[in-house]
Formats: sequence, structure tokens, C-alpha cells
Amino acid sequence: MAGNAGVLLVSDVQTLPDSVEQWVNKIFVDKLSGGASLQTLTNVQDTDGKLEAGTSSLDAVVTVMQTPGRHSSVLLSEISRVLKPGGDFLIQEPLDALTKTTLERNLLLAGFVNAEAVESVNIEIAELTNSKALKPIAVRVKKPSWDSGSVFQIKRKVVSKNGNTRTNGNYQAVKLTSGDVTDDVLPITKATIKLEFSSDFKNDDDELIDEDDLLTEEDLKAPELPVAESCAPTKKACKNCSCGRAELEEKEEEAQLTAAQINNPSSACGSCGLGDAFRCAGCPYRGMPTFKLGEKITLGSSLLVADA
Amino acid sequence: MRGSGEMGERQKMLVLYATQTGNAQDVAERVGREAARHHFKPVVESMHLYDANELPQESVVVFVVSTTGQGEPPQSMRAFWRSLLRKSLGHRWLESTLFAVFGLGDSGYQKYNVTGKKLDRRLLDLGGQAVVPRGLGDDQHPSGFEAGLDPWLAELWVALRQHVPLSAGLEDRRPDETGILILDPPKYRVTYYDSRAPESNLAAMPERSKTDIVERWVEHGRARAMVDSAGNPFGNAREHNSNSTGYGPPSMPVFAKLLTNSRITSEDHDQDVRHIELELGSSGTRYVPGDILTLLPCQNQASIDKFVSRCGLDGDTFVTVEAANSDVCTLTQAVDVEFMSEKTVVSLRTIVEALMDVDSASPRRYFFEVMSHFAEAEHEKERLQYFSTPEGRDDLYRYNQRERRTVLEVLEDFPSVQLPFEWLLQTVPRLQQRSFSISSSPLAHPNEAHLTVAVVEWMTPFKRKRRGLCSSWLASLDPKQGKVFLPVWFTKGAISLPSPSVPLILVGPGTGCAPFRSFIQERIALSNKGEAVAPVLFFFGCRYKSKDFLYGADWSAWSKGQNVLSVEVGGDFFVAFSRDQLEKIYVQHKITEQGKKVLQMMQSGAAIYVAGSADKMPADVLSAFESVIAKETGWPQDSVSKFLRDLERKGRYVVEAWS
Repeated sequence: MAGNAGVLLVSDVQTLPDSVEQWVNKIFVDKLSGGASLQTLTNVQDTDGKLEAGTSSLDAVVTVMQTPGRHSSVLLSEISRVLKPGGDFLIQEPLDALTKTTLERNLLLAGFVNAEAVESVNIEIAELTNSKALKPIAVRVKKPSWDSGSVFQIKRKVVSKNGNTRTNGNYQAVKLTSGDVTDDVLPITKATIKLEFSSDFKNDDDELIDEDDLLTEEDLKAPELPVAESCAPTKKACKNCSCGRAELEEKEEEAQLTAAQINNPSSACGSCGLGDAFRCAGCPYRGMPTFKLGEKITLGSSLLVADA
Repeated sequence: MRGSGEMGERQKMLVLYATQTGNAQDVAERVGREAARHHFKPVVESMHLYDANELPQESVVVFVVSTTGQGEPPQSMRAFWRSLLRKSLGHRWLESTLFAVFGLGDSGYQKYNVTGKKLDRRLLDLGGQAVVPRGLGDDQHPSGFEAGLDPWLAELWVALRQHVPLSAGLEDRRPDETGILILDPPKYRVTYYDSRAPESNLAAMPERSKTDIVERWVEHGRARAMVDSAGNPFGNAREHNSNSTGYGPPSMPVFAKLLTNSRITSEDHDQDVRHIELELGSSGTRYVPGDILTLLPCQNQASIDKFVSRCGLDGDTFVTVEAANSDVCTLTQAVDVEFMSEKTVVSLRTIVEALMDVDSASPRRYFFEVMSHFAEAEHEKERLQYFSTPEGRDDLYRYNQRERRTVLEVLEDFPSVQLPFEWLLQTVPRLQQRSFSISSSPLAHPNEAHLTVAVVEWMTPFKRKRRGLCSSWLASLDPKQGKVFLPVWFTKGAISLPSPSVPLILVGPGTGCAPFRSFIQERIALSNKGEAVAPVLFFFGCRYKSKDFLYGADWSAWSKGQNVLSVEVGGDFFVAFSRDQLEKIYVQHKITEQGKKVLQMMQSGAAIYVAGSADKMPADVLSAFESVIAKETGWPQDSVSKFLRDLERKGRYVVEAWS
């Protein structure tokens, strides 16, 4: 891969031994062919953690730290930013069990996956370590092959290059290794994020804004709703009802239909017999079919005797 | 050009809508009717037929948009929306345009009304001038979305008048005149033919040959195309067909044969859940795991008969339906809408069967308003008018929407009303297609598609028992009584199976397990062919182990040996039986319990999928994942929430929920 691609080597020491550069060159030999370069950044602890490289521009990043705790969250997200999707991140830092776990969590937060322990680099580096209690440990992680923060949501109607699989987000997944340690570079098929749009979409070479930016905190809050007179999910008012439903239910119980009312229905307002469309909210005949005053009400087949 | 024009010249108002089930269209048409009464010249159009690049030329635009499902815009809005999101448009693109947005949504979902909210903000960003703040209608409100619509509309006309003065000689209506006393011209013109349709045999027989089904589908398709063209005469009438937007029935579906229809919940369980197997015929696989099967339910013949007779219609007459001409308020006619080489002619009964939902969906407010004009009895007319006003809205909701009154029931309750057929066609709700996640893998079951369908049943607030149209119809089909064919088609779901090396965390209680049965079957089939597949962690939930443990035997089998759910390969299966013990245990409790395993899967790059009922489950599950991550990593809540939101954005945390 020619061009700006390459490998970045980051360290917190002033000068790195030549053997480190040689080691990196050996591991990432195919990433550094064809004009790609190895850049080095030293004394990273004196910077603010921001990297100069462009977004998604590097095939791999290697950090070799002498002192523990140099991988700040700013640095980790910067490394994630500059790495190409599918790119490798190799870390060497003196760690104990606790700090190793912390580092792995932080890597997850920054979006890296597949942390696996690898052999730390040659002894010269190990000797750089200040503290005797900590061993230099090397961990290799990957940046997932689907790009983060795409400017539009790639949800549906996405056809991958070979046309068969329709993967959500059009990513090719990282290969799961079952823990074997290797110095060899894993073959990474670079997933180009090439989407074919259906003909609905014109102007598809225009960049789009991120539509989620259009929403504010306020927008995501649920609205306040007035209390319905019949809170549908529950069958009865709560014991400590404060919304007034308990009183309504008391009234309803008073308005239960008696056998007498069914056999000889009467209506003070005159509307009860006309059907539900004409009945008032508290009408005891609610749910009953139409009837004529004085004639017994016959239940239709859609009605069941409810046992609440 | 705004402001007062010459006498008689009216300001054009464009009303663009994006509808999913027809509500936004109904609202847009109401806006159009009221616009005409306020002396505007309205043009009401669906977004998918409007070229967004022309927007800056409009002086006044009203948008009516629905938010569907998980916060997505309707299909008909996708292309339009994408055009608006272009960075290149700048902040002055719409500076000569006055606009207003009304959004329809359901606050029962997490992403409530986000389409309307985003649209409103984007239009402002682009330099548009909002006449009124955006209005939001909420299905969860006791009187539905109209509670938000009525006041917003009233405000809109007042505010617009500030910007668009009346032409000389015109007067505005008084605020108390709601206009329901005027009946606008109907949308359609129906022509009746003397010759009668042959006695329709297609409807009657329960057992039919496949040819009959195909013929019937074609006939229904012609009716649909004819009515759609008449209702929306934009663009080329020839090419108009709802399928061009991807969301209507296709002209030729797959005619699937029903192989199995068996109940998989115990007989003593409240809910009837069916496992349905369909054979797709020989043209090969047409779906992938995660896809959705869509169909149009068959209406009950007795209900159709009742409706036809109640409305005084002759089902066997041939008719043609076209757009009615009108210069007050309707859709503008496209240049070549008159081009129809042959007029389509179908029987009236076909139109009712194919397009009009007579005994399931509830009609909308406008149905009642139109009925009021055709009521002979005074007390009925008054009541219907009352229902159409803002004052009567709550009572209408109690009687109609919340009780899920059907068109047939409403017509029976107002016996003196006789609506002409063109009004019935315009206001009776359209028969809607229904979708189901496919629960089989095409690799494991070539040429088949399986469905897991819960028969929908509920008690209305007035204690009447109701059943869902589509699920009851499906449950009634019996393959043992002769061959049964169903026209079906496939659409993409929100979820799709990633490549085999991605580990999966699946959460699918109840019928939510359907797409995951498809995922897991596919992975197993791939593994049997020798491919390396990543493990799967599956959380299922139901009420009772002995009653509704859907596909229990399958999950157990797939947790053994080297199958993807087995612990040996790094997967696992957990089920929450919510009612088998005193305290309720749900999937989210199982997730929290298995925090370490969950985090480990996530660290190895697992993608998370959640499917099932929309109610509270997705939110509860999200909280469970948040608490797992917070506990295992010690991060603050903010970082955890942001982390999960990022996962969602990258497509690594996906939810497909339905109500």
C-alpha cells in the first residue's frame, strides 16, 4: 500500500534503541513496503496526547512505554482515530495484573477489540523498564473494520462488494483467534466502505451531516401526558392511587348493571339505548348493545362476562 | 411570491407528508382542506413524489411526518430526507421559505417523534423560517395525536396570516367556524357500468387451487393500482404503483404453500402462538436471516357481505375509479394522467375486499365528519358533528379509537347514515399489510420460510373481546384441509446476520426469538458445512417453562456439543421464566447475572441484537447492559451511556421491536 499509509511508533522515552525500530520493521514488513514509512514519536508524555496523523491513515501503531500509565484516554482515542479500520495496535507497557485489566477495559472503551497477549519485544526494551516489580507486557488489539462515526447511518439496503451477504453496517468482521500468540502479521482484508445506493438516492457523492446531531437533550425526554381516565395497562387502581382513578372506580362499581336493569332497562337521559356512541362516560350500559326501553337486553357474541 | 395578489389569486401552500399507516396522509389532507378554507391554494403530496431540490422555490410548506418503529422515518421519506442532509446546501438554501412541521409519533417508544424533531431543526439550519414551533402528536395521549394537532393547526392559520395577508375581497373565517358544516368535494369519481360482473366464485370456497389464488391476487392488484393512481395522480400514471417506493404490495408476490400450522404454546396457556411453515416454490432462496415476511390478511367474507349490504352497495357491479376534478383543494394533475390506454374496470366487491378494512381497523375523525353530512336522523347528525369538534374529541376517542371500533360497528351504531361509495373509498381505512420476522434459516431449510405468530387477543376498555385480523386469519388456516396458498413477499428487517466470525449476544424474549432462531440455525448450518463460526450468547424469556417456552427443545439441542450455543465453544443460553417463581425474573435480570460473560463477549467483538415487544423491554435491556458494563469496568455512567450509543451508531447494538 503506497502513499501515506504506514506505521507509527510511539514512546515515552527520549531515544529508542535501533533494535526497536528494526523489530517494528520486521513485524510490519508488508505494511511498510512500497513507500510507506515508519514514523516515530518520542516523549509522548510531554505532548497533550493528540497525534498529527490524519484520520484512518495508518496501518498500525506501536507503543513502547517505559513507565506505566502512559496510555491516557486522549491518547487511546487518538490512536483509534488515526488507525485505518482493521488496523493493528501493539502495546508494550510495564503492567501488573490489576493495571493490565484496567488497560484492557480502557482499550474496550476506546473501541478496540480482540485483545491478545503477544510476546514482548527483545530484551533491550525490557531493560528500559524502570521498575523491577512490573514486567513489560505486550498486548495486541485491533480497530474493528467498520468505520466509526460515519456521517450517515448505514442501516438498510446495503449490498456488500460480492453482492450476497447483506451485513448490517457493511463490515467484515475481525477474525477470532483462539488465543495463539504469533509474531506474524495476521492477514487483514481491508473492507472498503463502498456502498451502492439504490436509485432513490441522487447526489450520492455529497457528504451528509450526522442527523443525530439535530437532536438536543430536551428532544430526547419523554413528554408529560395527562392522566387517562382508564389507565389501560392495569386492571385496577393502585392501592395508594393518587391520580383519581380510585374514585372513578368507586363510582363505576356503584354503576354496575343489575339484573333488573338488564331485564327492564331504563334511561334517565334517554340516550342509553342508542348504543355506545351516544352514552355518557359513566353510563352503566357501556359496552352493551343497543336496546329499546323496557325490552330485555340480549348480549351479542362479542361480549364476554368478564371476571375482572 | 407572497403577499396580496390580484383578486382571486391565492398563495400556493405545499403540504408534504410521509405516512406509514395513513395517519400522516389523513392529517395532511385535513391541512389541505383547512388551507383552502383559509384562501390558500393547497397542493397535498407524498414526499416520495416530490423532488427536494425544488424546495427553495416554495414560499409556504407544511410538513406532516410520522416516526415509525425505532425512530425511523417512513420509507417514503428516505430519499427526500437524505437530500436534505447534504452538507453542501448551506445555511441559506431555504431562506425564502416559510415552513411548519407536525410530527406524529408514539411516546411509548424511546425515540419519540424524532423524525419530526430532526426535520424541524434541519429546516431551520437550512435557513427556513418557522411560522409556528413544531407540533407533536402522540398516540399515547388519551385522545391520540389530535390532541396535539387541533391547537397547533389553529395557531398555524393565525400565524400564517401575519406573513400572508389576504387578497382584497377575501375574508377570513371566524375562529369558531370549524368548517365541519361544509363537505369538500370527494377525492374520487366512480363510474358504474351496466354490465354485471360474473358471479364471483373466488371469494366463497375455503379450498382453492393455486390458480384461483393467483387470479384473485391479480384482480386485487388491478384494483389497488387503479385506486392508487386516482388518489395520487402525480408523475407518470403508468409507473405509479406503491411498489416503486418499496412499501406496498408487489405486483407479483411469492405464492407460498402452507405446510404446517401448529400451536406451540400449551393448551392451558392464555396465548396461542403458532409455528407456521411455508414452502416457497422452486425459484430459490429470496431471503437471508433477519429478513421479514410481509402479507396482506384476508378479510372475513361474512364481514364483507355485511358491509356491502349495510351500505346498500351492489358488490357485483363493475366500476372505474378516477381522480375527481376539483380546483378547490386537491392534488394537481400531472400532464399525462389522462394517459391510460385501457380504463381499469373491477367489481365493486373486489375493491372492498382488497382495499377497505371493514371490520378491524378503526376509522379516523374525518370519517365521522363526512358521516355527519349523510345522516338522516337528527340526533345522529348532531352526535357526529359533536365528535368532529375539538370539544367532542375526547368522547370520540373513548367511543372509537380506544375501544377499537370497526367501520362496520360504527355504521351499525349510526343506522341512518348512508355514505356514497366514493366517500367510503376515501375514508374507510386502507387494508394494511402485516410483517413477521422469519424464524428459519434458508440454509437450514431451503425453499422454506417459518413464522412464529402470536394470535392477538385483548379486552377493550368496555370489556369486549377482540382478536387481531391477521393473526386470527393465519391461525384459522389448516393445511390438512386441502392446499392453502398465501401471497407473501420479503422485506429487509432492521437486523441482519453479520459474517460468521462475529460473536453474537442475542436478547429475544417471547416471539422476539423468531429472528434469532433464524440466526442460530444459519450459523449451525454453516458450521456443519465446515465453516468456522463464532459463538452465540442467547437470552430468552417467557412466562412458564411448561406453557410458553417456545422452541425449548431446539435451544437445548443447540446448547450441546459443538453447537453455537454451547459453553464448550464459548457460547451459552439463558432463559428467564417470569412467573415460575414468586419474584418476576426477566431477560434483563439474566443479563445482569451473567455480566462477566457478557463483557467477555463484547471484548471479543460481539455484536448485540435485541428483538421482541416494544413496550418496556428494549429500555430495560439497555439498562441491564449499561449496568453490566459499569460494574465490570468501573466507568462512570456518562461514559457507559456514550459507549452504548456509539455501538448503536456503528451498528453493533441493534434493536428490532414491535408493538
